[in-house]
Amino acid sequence: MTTATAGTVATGGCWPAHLEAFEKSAAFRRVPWALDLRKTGLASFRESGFPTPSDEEWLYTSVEPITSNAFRQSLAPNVDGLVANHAARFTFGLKGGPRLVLVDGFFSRELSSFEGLPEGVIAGSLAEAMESHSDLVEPRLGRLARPGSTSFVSLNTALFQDGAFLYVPPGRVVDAPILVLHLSHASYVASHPRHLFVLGEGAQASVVEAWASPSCDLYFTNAVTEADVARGAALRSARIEAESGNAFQIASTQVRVAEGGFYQSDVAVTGAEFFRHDLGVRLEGERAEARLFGLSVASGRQHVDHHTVIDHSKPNCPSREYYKAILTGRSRVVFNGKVFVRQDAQKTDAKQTNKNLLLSEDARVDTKPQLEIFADDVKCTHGATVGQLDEDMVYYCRTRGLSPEVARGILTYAFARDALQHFAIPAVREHIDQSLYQRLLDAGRFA
Amino acid sequence: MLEVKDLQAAVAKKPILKGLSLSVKAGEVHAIMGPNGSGKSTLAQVLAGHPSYEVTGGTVTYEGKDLLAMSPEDRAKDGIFLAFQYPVEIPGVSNSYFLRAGYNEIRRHRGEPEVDVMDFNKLLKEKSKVLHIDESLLNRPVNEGFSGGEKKRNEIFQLAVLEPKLAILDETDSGLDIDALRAVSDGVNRLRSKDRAFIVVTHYQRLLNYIVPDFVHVLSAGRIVKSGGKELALELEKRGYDWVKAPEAAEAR
Repeated sequence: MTTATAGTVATGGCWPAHLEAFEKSAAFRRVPWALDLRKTGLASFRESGFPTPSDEEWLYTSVEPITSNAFRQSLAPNVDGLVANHAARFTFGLKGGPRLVLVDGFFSRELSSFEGLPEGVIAGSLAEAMESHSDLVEPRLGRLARPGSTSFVSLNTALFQDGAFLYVPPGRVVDAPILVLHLSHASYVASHPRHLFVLGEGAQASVVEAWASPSCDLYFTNAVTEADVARGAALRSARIEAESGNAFQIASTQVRVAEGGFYQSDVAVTGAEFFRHDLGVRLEGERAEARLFGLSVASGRQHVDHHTVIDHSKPNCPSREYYKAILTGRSRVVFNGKVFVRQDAQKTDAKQTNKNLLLSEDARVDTKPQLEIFADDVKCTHGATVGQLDEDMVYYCRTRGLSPEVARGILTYAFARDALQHFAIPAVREHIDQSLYQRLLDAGRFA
Repeated sequence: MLEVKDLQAAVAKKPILKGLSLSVKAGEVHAIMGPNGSGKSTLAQVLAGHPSYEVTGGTVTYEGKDLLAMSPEDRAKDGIFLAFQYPVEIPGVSNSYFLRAGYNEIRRHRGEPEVDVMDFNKLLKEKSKVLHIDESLLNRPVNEGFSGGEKKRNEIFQLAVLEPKLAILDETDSGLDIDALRAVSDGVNRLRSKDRAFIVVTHYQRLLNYIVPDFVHVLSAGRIVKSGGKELALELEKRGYDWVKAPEAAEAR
């Protein structure tokens, strides 16, 4: 256990060396305009260190696995035959279409595909875009996910080397969902990918951020995604956490939605040993809308932690949040959902719901929905439930000939579908639906 | 087909059935009547295998087998069907999926091949026409948001699809208006056959105007206190239950 006492900060065994080495590298100063940003990240992290168990935002999630393992800094992608093979296989229900593939935190041009992207759309490597499209990147990078906001965002800001960049010019509509696939394929490596998605006024796009690994390596990913949704633009995003059972991921997604803009986030978690996601959406213009859906299926010793913030600062903005989790084994799921309604945000219509299904006595859920309202003319509701399968339903199924195992499988699947049906990208929705069905019903008992 | 001997059962340690005996042959329709709290629904649930009802004595033999030793799903697969007084809502599971899962379990048990979605949907359509069931109910989640009448009708629809040998109707008439009552009874009457037996549990004689029973039994304080033909139901309608009540039930008043 890492502990911090007054006057010292816990930065963990391998981390000071990573920071020092990277600070001296050419990569740290490659882009002059980004140097100050990186330095701020570095200084902020050195000041804060890793969060400790007494940190309000980390009460139920210990970062001990990240501070105690000796990770190597990812310096180059490990692109071998296995990765190439898997990059093609991990489609998540998307047939063809554009795909940006990253390996160990680095963009891979040869594994990516740009088919179906309309003219004017820029998609590719963030590191390249920082140099070739600094006009688009500089005003946004680090402005949405600010260094100093959390330890891990600071760390990412100091150490990131690459990520995916997407720019959709004003009025452009990208029909095909864009797959942004991150593969990790090196043992004991720490990577810090950073994605930036920019939608111009009235632009539309769907982005599927998928995280996977072709092998069972133990590694750590500290990911940051920033998304800027301009006036009247619409970004439909899905995040699929399907990493190996030895993966550790801490991720932050920070989004700004301007007047009349629309943002939807669908987060599906089935993989990784340890996953923490901070999702923040700022509704900064009137009639901006946010829809946040989550479905986690945790088993074994998985630890899944969702921290979400929806910040209403302007009037007439609707937001919906619906997170569900299914737990078995000794798994643990945390949900902390904050909704802020600022003084100016009159006529806010916010609804937040968190429902959890506990299928084992050893699993545990900590849920904390939070509403903070400073305006007086608003419609806000929130609620959370933690429960087991309804035995009356199980019995009813049994009287129709179904075994208790099948009955529980069907009821669990139905619980999941209730969240899944809201997912915005049809191919992704169907893909997750099918894999859940197989896991819960075809494979027999869900364990 | 069904032989119930001296059946005793308790719910949460409270004895409800206190020595009930009943014999049902294929093709027969038996009505079980009785005042509230006499144990009618307990009998229905014990026969279906509800885990919260504890059998404390007696035997139930179904087609030569010890029914009480069988799980609820094995009873269903062997041809027992309970139409619930309060059908359970199952959000997120469509009626057609739910029924196909049960239907195929029963077929597997009989050694028959499973039916695929296409063929099963054809079967559902046919059955829904015969029973005048709105087809849109098939794709809605099981009983979710159904009116009381729709739920009861859906139970009878399930009965028609699963084709049990012994159907137990638990207060299927409760909460139905006259049109729904007629529709539900109509459905049941179509399903009467020489191979299928019915146990119709009801508080009121009204239902038995539509589903005419071969035998009527009066349950009081967990025991059958009087049996007769369909005319017994009419007499109960006229005279109430007091004259047939078991002495301990009368004392309890």
